[in-house]
Amino acid sequence: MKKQKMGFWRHALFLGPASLAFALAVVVPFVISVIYSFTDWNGVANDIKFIGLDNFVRIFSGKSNFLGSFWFTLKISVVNIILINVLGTLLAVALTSAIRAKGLFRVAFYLPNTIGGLILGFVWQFIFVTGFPAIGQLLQSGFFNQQWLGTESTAFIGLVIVSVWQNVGYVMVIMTAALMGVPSDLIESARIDGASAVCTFFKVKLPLCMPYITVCLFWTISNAFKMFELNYSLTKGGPYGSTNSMALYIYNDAFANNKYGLATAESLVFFVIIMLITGIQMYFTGKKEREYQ
Amino acid sequence: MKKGKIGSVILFLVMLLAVLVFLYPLFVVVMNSFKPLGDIIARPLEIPGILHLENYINAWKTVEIPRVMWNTALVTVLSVTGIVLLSAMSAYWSERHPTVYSRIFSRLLVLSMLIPFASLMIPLVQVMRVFRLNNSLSGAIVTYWGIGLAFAFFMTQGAVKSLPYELEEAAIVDGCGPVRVFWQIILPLLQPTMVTIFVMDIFWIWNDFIVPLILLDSSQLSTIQLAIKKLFSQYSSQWDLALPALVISIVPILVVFVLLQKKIVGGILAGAVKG
Amino acid sequence: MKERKRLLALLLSGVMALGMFGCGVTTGSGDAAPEKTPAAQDSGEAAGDKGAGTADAGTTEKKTIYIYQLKIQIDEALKNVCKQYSEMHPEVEFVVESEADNYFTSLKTKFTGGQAPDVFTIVGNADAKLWQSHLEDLSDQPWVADMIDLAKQDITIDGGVYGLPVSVEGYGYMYNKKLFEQAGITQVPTTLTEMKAAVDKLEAAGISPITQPYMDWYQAGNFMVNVGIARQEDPMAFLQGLNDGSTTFVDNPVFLTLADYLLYDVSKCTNPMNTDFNTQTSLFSNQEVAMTLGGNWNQPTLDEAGPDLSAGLMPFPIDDDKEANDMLFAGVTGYWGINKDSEAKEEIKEFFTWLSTTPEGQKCMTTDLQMIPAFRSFEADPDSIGELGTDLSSYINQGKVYGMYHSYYPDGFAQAAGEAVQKLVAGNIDGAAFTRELQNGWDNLKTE
Repeated sequence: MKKQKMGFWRHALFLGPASLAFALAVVVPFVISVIYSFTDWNGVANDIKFIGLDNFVRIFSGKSNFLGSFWFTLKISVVNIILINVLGTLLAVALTSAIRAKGLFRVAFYLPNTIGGLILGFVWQFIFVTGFPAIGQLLQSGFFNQQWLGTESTAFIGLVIVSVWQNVGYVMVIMTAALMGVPSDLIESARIDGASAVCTFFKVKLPLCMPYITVCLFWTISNAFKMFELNYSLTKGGPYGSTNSMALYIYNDAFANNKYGLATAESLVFFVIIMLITGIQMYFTGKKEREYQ
Repeated sequence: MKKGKIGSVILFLVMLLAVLVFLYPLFVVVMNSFKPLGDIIARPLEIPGILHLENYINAWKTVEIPRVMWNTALVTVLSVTGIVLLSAMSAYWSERHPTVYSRIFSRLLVLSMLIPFASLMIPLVQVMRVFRLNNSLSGAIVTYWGIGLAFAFFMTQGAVKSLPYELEEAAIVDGCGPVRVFWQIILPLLQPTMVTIFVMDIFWIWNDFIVPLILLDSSQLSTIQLAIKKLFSQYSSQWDLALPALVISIVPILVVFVLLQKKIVGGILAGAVKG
Repeated sequence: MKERKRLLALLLSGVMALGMFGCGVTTGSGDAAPEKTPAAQDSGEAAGDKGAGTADAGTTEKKTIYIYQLKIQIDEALKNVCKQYSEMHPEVEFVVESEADNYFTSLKTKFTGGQAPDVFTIVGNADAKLWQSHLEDLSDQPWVADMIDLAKQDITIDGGVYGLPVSVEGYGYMYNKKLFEQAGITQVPTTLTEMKAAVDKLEAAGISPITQPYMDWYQAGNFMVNVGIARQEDPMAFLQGLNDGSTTFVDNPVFLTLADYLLYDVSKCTNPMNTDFNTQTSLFSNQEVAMTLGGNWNQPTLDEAGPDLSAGLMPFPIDDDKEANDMLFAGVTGYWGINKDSEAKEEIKEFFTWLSTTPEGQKCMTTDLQMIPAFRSFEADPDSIGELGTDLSSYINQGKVYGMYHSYYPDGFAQAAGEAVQKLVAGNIDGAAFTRELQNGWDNLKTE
């Protein structure tokens, strides 16, 4: 009886504080930013004029290069998501096998994940601009002597290298946990049935790790699309704006170009885009999970 | 048997090589943090002949390490503690006592993970100003509670789902109120997941610079990331201060990671977002 | 203090909220508990208010002038000047904060957050327009008539003057005197032909001639593209025309010449697309390269590099017209504006007047802050402004300067223009396409 009737105050006690913080930091600011997206506010002036859908027209008519940054973000996200998850899983496989000093390896691979993207960007800028040429001179290698951050393709590769380097540890930790959770009797029986190690991995282990893979995918996808700090400090969007991520583009429009209204409209578009993408991802991995159950 | 052993030795060597390449950039950072500025720029790969400890002393003073470390630690610990508690409370409650509100609430949380922060920046300052929380550590903390809630909520929700309901039932039959059930039974069971969230969020908040940039404006309130950021400017990057400051800033979280490493993995195992 | 109290309140309310769990159990009713939580938060707020109140009370006798400015190199010197002034005028005290990279972001959040500074940097015409609604009109100030024309034209909007010009800055190529001597160059080149001859001599002597930070859009967009605008017959009319559509970058002869010159310039650089500002400065100050784009703002960095580096400023010669090329580019790069809602408005005006009209104030400007003043009645101090400053002022005194017009760009154009330069020098587009790219950028960014 008593258990069924939960008074308002109990709901408020458990959900209230969380809702309050969430409303203050996210919901209300987001609503305000949606309102700004219909204005021409520059972020400074006291007078704000409503201009209807003009900002959105600007985005889709190509007057703002936001869609260019969308393609960049999409490309680099796909590359990053695949590399981070595959390499992270490989590391996890290697580090769950019979190998010495597992703990140390794990710490080592996780280490870059503990440093902020902004500072990593500065550090890698230093390495690309000063370190690589020095290595190139030492080894007489053209590979290192390229102008790494100076051409479109190498700057792209540079960003991929740093993102993978930074994030692979996260996937490794989660997938290690996942693989360790696979019951050994299942693997044993697969082996008795004559399945090869590779076959066991794909047919037995991976399906059982599906929930963890969902976590990894969700995490890497939302991080990849929100990529900001690395571009901000490593390439500054260069050369010639070819590595502007959507988040950086929005930041620049809001704060450097004094187009706050346009920037909030862009972020609304951005929001809808990643909502669609993660929605699709959740749908498919959810389906996979159900299939395996 | 023997073949397996050789295989594992080869694997070990491959991994060792991978780790060396992987950690080389960090090694370069540490190495250069001991060199004078001229050497850093001109000979970045050379191992320093003498350890230039002045860098650390200068960085300590210029960056005001004790103060910014204190600010960062305070913000990080209070934020993370808040996130963990709030997410445990709300995830537990919406899992066990779902209502229309709790369903909307959790939907909104998922969506919130997709909002680019740049668009929230100015409105956030406006909202915090109404409550006189901007330019104060409290404001930054509340902000982290709000932004950090979503991910923590889902980790915890997964963990709550995997908890056996019988324990709670038994407690309720014994006459425990929901608060006591949560405090004495659920929280201890959620501990592994909470530790995981705790550690992950520590890294995030410790390393974040954008919230401090807008909400901790005065240099009195500066956090370590913001202070380091100031050493890199368009016109002069003070590598001889920035690198030692960077090394100093990594040490505390490194300690946290090494100490809690086993628990992180355990927490994910327990959380596991089962279904 | 205020902060600590607020934190304490927050902690307290947190602890009380936690305590509620216990209460909930003992009273057997969760209903009573949450009523207290808001109460705890209220008391937290109250404590915060009180903290704020006492802090304000402490400062009412003295007026505090909060200066937020962009020139990080003068931070220390400015604090000293302010201290000197406070000693003479005990009714005011100063808080000086300097920031380079995040200045514009922080300034906006400061205004949004109600922590607006009383005095802040305005970087020129477009910026003054942006902030106009927050700026005090200073047209009636005694120093206005004394401002040089470049400054007056820049900071005047609709007949009002909105800032005190801080200093004149200028740029061209920075060159290393010793390396020039080594290569046997006796006179700085002032035409393209002479420039090419000098580069050949440097190369023959085994010295790398030029480095440019083409990796960053900043200098390319602001300073290199300005060369093209400044060398139009009537730059102001040209800019006006860009906005109303009567003039265009497309196939403009000056810009085509500039494009050709930039292609020559980049061909003499090593790794230009991988050179950022830091690499540029360190190469130049380590005397590894003879020339680079630079201005008198580089002086402090060069001073740090050591006394054996001797540098000067020389023209940026894009063609062979001697008279048109033997010039530097100069303008006022920063103004101090007064927040019109500041309580210390009158005191600040007094401070500005002191700086710009009294001998002591002027001395602070020229020797302490090491500025080249943008006023007619007093001159820079040759000992303070260094070699680069000396070269610049001698060009200014001979009237051999073009203006700096990047402060008239629409917001975001500096970056668009810099990216156009990057595309050009990377070989992605030719000169004609470069001018089209500039036009495109301007059209997309101008405010209708």
